[in-house]
Amino acid sequence: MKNFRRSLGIVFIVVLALFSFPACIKDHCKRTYTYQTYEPIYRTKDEVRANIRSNPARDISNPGKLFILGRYIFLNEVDKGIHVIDNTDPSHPLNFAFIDIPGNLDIAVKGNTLYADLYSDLVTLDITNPSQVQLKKIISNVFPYRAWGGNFSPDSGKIIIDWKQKQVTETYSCDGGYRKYLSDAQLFFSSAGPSSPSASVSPIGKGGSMARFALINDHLYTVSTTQLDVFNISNSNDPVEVNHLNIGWSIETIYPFKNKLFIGSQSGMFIYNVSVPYSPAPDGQFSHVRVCDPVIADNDYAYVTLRSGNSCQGYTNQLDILDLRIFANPTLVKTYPMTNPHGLSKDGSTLFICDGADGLKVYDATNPSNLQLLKRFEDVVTYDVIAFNHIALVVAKNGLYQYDYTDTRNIRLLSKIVVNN
Amino acid sequence: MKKIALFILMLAGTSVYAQEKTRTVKKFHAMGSIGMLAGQSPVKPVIQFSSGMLFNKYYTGIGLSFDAYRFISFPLFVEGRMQFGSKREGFIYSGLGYNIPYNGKQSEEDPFATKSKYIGGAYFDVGLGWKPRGHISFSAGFSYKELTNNSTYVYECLIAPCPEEQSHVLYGLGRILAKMSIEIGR
Repeated sequence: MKNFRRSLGIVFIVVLALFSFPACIKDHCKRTYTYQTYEPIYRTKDEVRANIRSNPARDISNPGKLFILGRYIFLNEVDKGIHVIDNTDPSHPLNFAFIDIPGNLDIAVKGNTLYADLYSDLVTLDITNPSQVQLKKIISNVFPYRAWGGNFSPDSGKIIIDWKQKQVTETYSCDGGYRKYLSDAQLFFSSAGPSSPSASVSPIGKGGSMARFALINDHLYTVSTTQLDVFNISNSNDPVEVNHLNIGWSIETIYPFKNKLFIGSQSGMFIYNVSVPYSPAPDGQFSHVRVCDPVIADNDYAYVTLRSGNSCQGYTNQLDILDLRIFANPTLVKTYPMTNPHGLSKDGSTLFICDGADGLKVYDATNPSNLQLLKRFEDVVTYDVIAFNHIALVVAKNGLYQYDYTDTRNIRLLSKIVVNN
Repeated sequence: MKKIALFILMLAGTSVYAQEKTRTVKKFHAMGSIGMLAGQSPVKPVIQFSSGMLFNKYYTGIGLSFDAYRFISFPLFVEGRMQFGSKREGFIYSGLGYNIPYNGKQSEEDPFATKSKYIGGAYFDVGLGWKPRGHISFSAGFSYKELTNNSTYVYECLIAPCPEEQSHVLYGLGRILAKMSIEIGR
């Protein structure tokens, strides 16, 4: 009994001793983060402007919007500039020059003049000789300032020309709680993009359905998230901003057709009449659920692709065809289910739709109420397309493709410029 | 992990060596225990099973636990015990092993993580016990388990692949373990 009591006493002493060392009776937590940071690489404004010229060709690594004019393809390299591709022979396109324009996402070409954004500035270039483009004019601060993730604020006196990527590992005690949020240096997104391909029209230039620049006769129309800007380009090399309209929110794309502008937003499609070119007037709208929606149009119908995912909200992935014969009140003709549709283009009765990972789909759209699938290219993750003069240029994740659709029952791949990520 | 495995092998080897050297009477011995784990986090239950051989006043065996403290896991351990007292009513014990994590839904999930996986770590316990009579014993001591939560965060972007962030969180959880056991053998 004596031993028993002694043993019991020892047990209690041990328990008591354990409680006396709170450092041991504790949840220790050590957190190790590995993440990418991006440090801006700056140049002065003078240095940047001096470098806006035809520099040696570069590999395509992050293609954005697309514009074709005559035998040339102008392909945006997101936030870096513009690839100039000689497409005289679509079977053998030649990437022969690169125009350095930091912060560039959008392009439009009229005749021998190219318009591009340089962050919040509008740049005008003479491209009479694409091998030796000349900077003609820069209008400062006409587009919204780029906003960055985190609390990062760029040096306002300089221009970001690139980002230096670094992998950082941090270790610290966490003791409960979740991950820390992105540091100021982590910039994974910006207010302006990377969005996607192309701009539009005039002496023969043609852009894609993802464009934020559109040309009608002597006026350039640009959209940003909330605004529509109008530039008079009757003197091509000397654009002048003539109007600035706040037209809503989550504006994404603009597509010109005749004297109308079709503006895609995350909440619907807006039609503006530009009979008075410097003063676009609302002419109709079609609302839909909150998703992304590139739009194109022809004489009687608008084709709107709605998609969800990533920065686009909602759960809708479909093609809506709208009857435009009464502009003020577009009516839905038919909805076709899609996988994740992005850009689209129509030439005659042939409709091309980039359906994300589901590939490129080609339809006979003779009867919009009854589209007939002609061909589906499954092995490309497509983003935007321009169908023009029997050649379909397709921007895909892994390259720039060109298809000959002279015979729509025998569409064939002509060439592919590989993207080097 | 290699070090832990090596230590377990050494411990097992030592017990075999001791068995041959002393040539004492050996008996099968098994224990089933339930208890509580108390520490910085809320008190949680523990269930243990251990079986092995008793050599006079020494016991060595292998055990498996269900441990619900902060993260559900299953410590697998080699246990040693030495009895003392005139009737061997007292004992000290120690266990060392590997904490096998449960990779299902844990109560402490990070809602921002795109992927989450738990990796095991070391397990260790030490304490004192008391076996008054019969087959019931009581013990208390210190218990420590480790596990790592590897999480991946994928940020939204328009064109894949989207940026990723990796997080590795190593948890070392020290607790007081109090348990009651039913013992078979002796």
